[in-house]
Amino acid sequence: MKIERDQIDSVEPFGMLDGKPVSLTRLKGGLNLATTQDKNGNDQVLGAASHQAILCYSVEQRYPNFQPAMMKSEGLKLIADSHSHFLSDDLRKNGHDIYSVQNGNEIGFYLTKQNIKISEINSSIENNYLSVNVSSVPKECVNAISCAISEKALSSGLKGVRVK
Amino acid sequence: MLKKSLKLLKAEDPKQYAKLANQGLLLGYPVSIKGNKNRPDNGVGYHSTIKYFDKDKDHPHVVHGLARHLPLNPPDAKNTQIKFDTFKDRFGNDVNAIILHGNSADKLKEHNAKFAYLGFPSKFEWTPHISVDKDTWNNLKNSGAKTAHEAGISFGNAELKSGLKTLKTYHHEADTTEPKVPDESDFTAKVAASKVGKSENVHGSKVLMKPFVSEAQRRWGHTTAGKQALGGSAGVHEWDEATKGKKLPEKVGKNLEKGALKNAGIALGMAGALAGASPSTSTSSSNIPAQVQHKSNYDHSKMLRALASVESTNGENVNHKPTSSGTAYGKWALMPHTIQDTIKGHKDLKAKYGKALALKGDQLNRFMQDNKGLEDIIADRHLSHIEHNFKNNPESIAFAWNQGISGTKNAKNKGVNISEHPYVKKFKAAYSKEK
Repeated sequence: MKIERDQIDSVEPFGMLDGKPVSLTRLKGGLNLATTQDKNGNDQVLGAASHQAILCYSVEQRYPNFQPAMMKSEGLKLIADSHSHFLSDDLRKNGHDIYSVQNGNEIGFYLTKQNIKISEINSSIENNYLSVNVSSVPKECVNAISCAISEKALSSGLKGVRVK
Repeated sequence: MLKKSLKLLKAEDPKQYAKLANQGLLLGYPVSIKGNKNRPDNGVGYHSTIKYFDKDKDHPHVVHGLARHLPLNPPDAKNTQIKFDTFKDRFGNDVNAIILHGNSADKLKEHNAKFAYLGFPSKFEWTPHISVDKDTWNNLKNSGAKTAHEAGISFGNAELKSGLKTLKTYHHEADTTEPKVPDESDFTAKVAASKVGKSENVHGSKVLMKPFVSEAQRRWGHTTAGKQALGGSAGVHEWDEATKGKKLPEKVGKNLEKGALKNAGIALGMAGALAGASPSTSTSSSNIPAQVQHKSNYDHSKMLRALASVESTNGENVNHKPTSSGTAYGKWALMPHTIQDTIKGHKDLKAKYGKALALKGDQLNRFMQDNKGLEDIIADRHLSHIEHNFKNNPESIAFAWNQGISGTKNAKNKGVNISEHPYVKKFKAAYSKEK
């Protein structure tokens, strides 16, 4: 992956991996990259995601030694989780993923393909229920997204799901 | 030195602390702070606990059985961040603690989690720390040190301690030798031996009233190591007295009663046979009695490799056939209920992977795929669980891996010849090939 300087929006500390600093490189197109330097001093991309919290989650999954920076940045206060196991093998092979990102009582569900967001469903915790704002989701992913929403509600100890 | 500590340590109840210090079983790293190895207020050694065990129910050999497989490298002081906090211990006493953060601390936490089924029940999440006296705590806090290194903290090799006595020191590599205390299985393996009560103190002044099983064991009992293990000369005398007048075989494995063979001989025989040697050749070069030695022939990692070889040719054939209980996953052919029971049975796994408990079929398999490394952790924990039930007997453990723990116990009760089971035969062949 070659990235020109003018494509970069910002670079900020993201954490540490095996004693080396990891940077968060935000691209103007909306993609976030976690980068570090290899032994030869060349930039190495550890992961990419449309959302900073998802990026942090996926880098942590791939590199267990990764230590996210204790920074005030919004992304690291968020809780990201994968629900991709609900997708069919075919969709997974095509690079689809489902993530949830929780920020307090707000929970967003992201359907991504090759790390690019293709659909988003917003929901919020209200009176012990997860209230979901229905929006357009690719037909083949509806079942998986529904399971993801149920799983998130269950793991958050909520009574159930309500559709707005 | 200890008496001094009783007055000052961990607040209100010195007797309680005396009991902890004198009788507790602890796995941890000794710590030195600016060259001082002991707390100035009470003389107790600084340490960072990996796990504090319940000595009444956790036998040192069980702890060691797991500890020896762990990479217990001392924490890296330079890369260990520190924070200062106070918390209540499980008796409600205030503790001044240096909280450890970073990779090494995470490892410490991982190690602690491996012993989750041992020790005392806890309602709080355990955090790696060093408890110190208030003055040291204040001094270090005021110094502004951010890392253990900056605070002058260094860590020694991990130790398994029973009270003040160090039973075992763990170096960087996994350790396969035994701590010098009688093996737990010794207590059940003796010919015509009565059962040892749980309250019997292995390391304390109360000696073990046990007869020797063999001449080899009797000779070992009179060596320095034997005397140490059996509670000194008085202890050895007790063992001699208990054996007096009995004609002992030279080695165990010969002329043993059926019950004793079931308990001890199988473990020894299998370990020898699986290692490619007969039981007699495996012990002939040593004076150490067979029961004490048999566990050293057992290797947890080797066992895992052999099981992976049998189940999937080390991960090459992972397309397992569906069964009525679901489809197995991965190189150890972990069944869905095994995966879920193991997650359910370990607090740390349940906290991190709890949502797997609600998944079924392909979803669970995909979840395993998405969580790389979880398969290894579950196989490791599940094997430890089986080992706990079958005292490191490779044959029973292999059978239990295939048929379940209850299935194995039932088979044993019904007198089934486990060694002739096709899975066990296959396993034995794989185990003998593993190095």
